[in-house]
Order: sequence, then structure tokens, then C-alpha cells
Amino acid sequence: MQADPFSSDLMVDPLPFYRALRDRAPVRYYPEYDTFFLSRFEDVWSALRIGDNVLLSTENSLPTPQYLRTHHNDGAPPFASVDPLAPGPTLPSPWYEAMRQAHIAPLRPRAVLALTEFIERTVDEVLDQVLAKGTFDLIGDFAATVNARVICHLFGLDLAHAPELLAIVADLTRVDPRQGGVDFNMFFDRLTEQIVPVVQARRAAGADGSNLLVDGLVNFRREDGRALSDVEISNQLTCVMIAGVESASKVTASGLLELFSRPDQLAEVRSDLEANVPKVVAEMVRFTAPAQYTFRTAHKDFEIAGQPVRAGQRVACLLRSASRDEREFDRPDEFIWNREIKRVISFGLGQHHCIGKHLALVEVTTMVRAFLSRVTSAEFLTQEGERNPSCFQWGWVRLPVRISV
Amino acid sequence: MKIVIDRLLCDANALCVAEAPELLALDANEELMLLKPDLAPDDVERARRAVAVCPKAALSIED
Repeated sequence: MQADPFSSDLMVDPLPFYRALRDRAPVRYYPEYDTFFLSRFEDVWSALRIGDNVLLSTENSLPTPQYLRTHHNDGAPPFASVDPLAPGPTLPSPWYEAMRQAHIAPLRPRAVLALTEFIERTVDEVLDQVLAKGTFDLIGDFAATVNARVICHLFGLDLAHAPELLAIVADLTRVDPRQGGVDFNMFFDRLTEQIVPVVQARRAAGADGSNLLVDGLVNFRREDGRALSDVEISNQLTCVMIAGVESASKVTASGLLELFSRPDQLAEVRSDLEANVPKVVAEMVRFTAPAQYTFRTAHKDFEIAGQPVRAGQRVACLLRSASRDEREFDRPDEFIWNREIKRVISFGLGQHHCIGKHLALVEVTTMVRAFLSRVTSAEFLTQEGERNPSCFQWGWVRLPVRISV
Repeated sequence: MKIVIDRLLCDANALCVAEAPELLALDANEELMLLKPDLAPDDVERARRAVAVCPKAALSIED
């Protein structure tokens, strides 16, 4: 139980460690990080639902271990700057919510349904290309390529930008294993290079609402009447750009690997794809969602599971541990395609609940259904694959597969 | 008693609508709306479940 939660040895397979935490130290304090690690479903669920600026991502929801070791707060840290406006995820209420509401419209359920035709067409086009190759990377060549094209479409970027988005996200998640965490500052410049021209183009075109992701931010006015700068707007959209390329692709690939490893379940799912794919996708999300944790910094004293937390201390919500908590799920380490999932924790919860959840689910569902309907057998070349053991985005980053159609 | 919607927090995920379709709905603009401004005693249990299921913790019940 003295293990370093960020150590690369441990992150090769953190699940036994998470189980030990849940059983023996569900609110485990690490003084070197001044952080309480929450591992049980109920505690993560409760902590992430706390509002009123008690727990914020002021220090970034994915701080590096190095940062945590070298920065300890003496009381609540200052709120993130609102003038100039800091990146969206770090903002306190009501700024966080105002920025989110200004660009959530295209990610709402019905708006996403309207994208279905584009997503289906994109999946078919990309699948045509990779199936012709016979052997391909299920993540980079297929799923992440689909995700990147959908993100280009949402931003109004030419689809030719998709490979660059893929490259940025691949670099971002291929963090030095000794360092762990994610140093987002390194990647903001590259993302800003992609997003600022979009913002400028929308501004020049009058931002009439035809680009729902960007125009609301262009037309936003502060109380003093000032519009947001190009970079301030870009800083609100980086999260959508990264996450839109990142997680859904990994759930798709890792989820298909799990399903193909269980021929009986695969046959059951295949018996009625329309009805069964949404169910198996829910289990794929629970079982394979790559995000390990999300951090918050306390801005007020509060208590979680009987443990007092002082302003300035951090709380790490171990999402992947929560999704394997035997107190919430029956036989949690078994992949069961049609299990009942009453509560979903994999998209986070509360203020930062995944803004792209509906889009992600439609994408994964569309990709899994198309793959299952067009591929009769698949051999997963896991020996040639690549995992990212110490990154917060745990799991496969490259997963070659040889298929028969 | 009534359900109160925090408009800033609500993302219109509509899990509450699935839980209590006779109490909550999405309007044409995908904004959440209350179908029953005042809860009948029989509605309260279902309203509590709708509040509990919201992934944004955007709903509450007020006396």
C-alpha cells in the first residue's frame, strides 16, 4: 500500500492496486502529492458531484506528478484568471459553465443524431480503406482516423487536417513513462495553431451561428462588453479537440479486442447488431475507458467519506477503479456484454462531465456495428501492439489487427 | 415541492427525462423543461430518482 500511484511499474496493471485501495484505504492520502486518492465508486460519485466551487481543476485535472510534488498549496490557490480568460477546464463557476454553454450546442443529443449520417459515411469510407489493406492498426488507421475527421467536421476544418490532429494527440498521450501525467502546456501551441485560424475565419464570416461549436464563443460578450480574443476562444476548445480524437477510438479498439476474445459473447452480439451493439458499447466503455483519474483542488475545507480535506489539498478521483468497484458492479473484472449498468462513471461527473459523451457513444456504436457487420474474423496482433503503461490514458495506443471479410 | 433546474449546469443529457418522463422533457431547443411545476405527493419519489441520476448534479428538489 506504499506504492506510488504514478509509478510506471504499477501502471503496467494498476487494477490489483486499485482493488487493494478500495478494500483497505478507500481515501488514501499521499503526503508527497498532498492528494487524497479516492478509489470507491460511491466516493468518486459523491466527490465529483460537489459544486459551488469547492473542488475545481484550477491546477489542471491531469497534473504531472512532478508538479504535484513541487507545488503544495498553503490554503486555497487563487482561482484561474478570467481576464484574460484561462483555458476552460481550469475556470471556476460561473465562467466554466458560461463557456461550456457557449459551445455545447453541437454536442447535445439531438444535434449529435443529426451528425449520424456523416459519421456513418466516414466510418464506411475509412473501413473501405483499411479492410483493403488486410492488416492495419485498429486505433490509428481506423477508429482515431474516424474520430479526427468528425472533429474536423465539427470545427469546420478541412478533412486534410485530420492526420495532424492525430499526430498531436498521439504525441500528447505518448508521455515520457518516467514522468507520467500529461504536460498540456507543451501541446497548447500546436492545438492553438489549428484552432485560431478557424476562429478568425468564423469572425470574418460574421459568426452567424452556422458553426455551433465556434460562433457562440465568437459572439460571447463579457459584462464589460469585451469580446473574447482568438486565443481565449481557442483555449475553450482544446479540450473538445483532444478528447474528440482520443478516448472513443481507444474504447472502440480495446472493446473489440475484449469482444473478439470471447467468441460466445461475440456470437450473441452478432445475432442482432441493431439491438445488441448499444449494450456491448456500454460495457466496452465501463471496461476499457482509458482515463485513469481526474484531479481536483479543494478551494474550501470539506469532508469526503469521513475524511476532512483542507483548502489547497487535492483529490484524485480514480475513475477506472470506480468502474471496477465490486460494491457497484457484480463481477466487475468480467466483461459481460449485456450487464446491467445502473450508473456510469467513465465520462466523469458533475461540472466536468464529458461534454462529448453523446458524440462519443454514437461514434463507438457506429464503428463497432460497421466492423462487426463487415468483418467475419479478426486476429488481434497484440504482440506487435503498443501500450502506454504510465500515462493517465491507460491501455492500447496501437493495436494491429489482421482481418478476413 | 418542486424540481429546480440549475440552467447553467444543465447539459440536457436527458437522463432525468428517461427516469421521469411525466415530470421533465426537452423542448424544441433541447432545453430541459418542467412538465409539472408543483409535484404531487405521488411524484416525489420519482422526482428524487430523476435528481439523483443527473450526471451534472444540475437538479434539486425544493420544498
